[in-house]
Amino acid sequence: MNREKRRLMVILNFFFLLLLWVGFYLSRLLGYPIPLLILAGSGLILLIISFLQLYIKTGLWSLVHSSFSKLDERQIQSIYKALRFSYSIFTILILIVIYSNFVLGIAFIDAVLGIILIYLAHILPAAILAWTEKEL
Amino acid sequence: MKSRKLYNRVALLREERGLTRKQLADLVGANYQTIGYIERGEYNPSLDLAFKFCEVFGLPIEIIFSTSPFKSLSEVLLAAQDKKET
Repeated sequence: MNREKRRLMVILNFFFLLLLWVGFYLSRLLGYPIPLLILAGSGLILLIISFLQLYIKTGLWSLVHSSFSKLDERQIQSIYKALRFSYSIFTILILIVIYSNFVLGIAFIDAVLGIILIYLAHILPAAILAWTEKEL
Repeated sequence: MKSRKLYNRVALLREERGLTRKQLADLVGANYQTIGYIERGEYNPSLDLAFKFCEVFGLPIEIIFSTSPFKSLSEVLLAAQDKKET
């Protein structure tokens, strides 16, 4: 998969995550109507498909999660850079969530938001590598 | 700190020895994509990796790596010929 296609897949993967998130919260807000549940469900299915295509098939997931002893110096440098950048992004996201909860008067992070945040924490370094690396 | 661009003859020497990127990568203990990055001058190898290239090619480091661009093969051959004639 070339870089342009990888970048498109990264955008799609985040879009499907957003679709799942918006679909789920809207359906909960409106009393779980079937069309919105289908929207959230299709978001989940498309998210899984794009995850498998982008992160598993290209080996990005195993690259980011493999032991440093199995990687060479350039790969370690690339992963360090990706981890540093993703840490900054994730911190900002968490601050936005905390601030939004405070403004909206919500005192907890529910299961769906929790799962989305865990997914993001794991996927961000791989997404950055997918976006920046010339060869995979 | 931004490091200087390092020029190298890795691609030339690899092809001269009939090695693929994968074979050279296995010999120096790196990933084959890293060889591509080094050959294109997009990544400067560490001193350790640079010396591994020297060991594999059996050449001193200044023949393989330089901080200034290398002369082309024709320029080197012409200079050698001129030196021989004088």
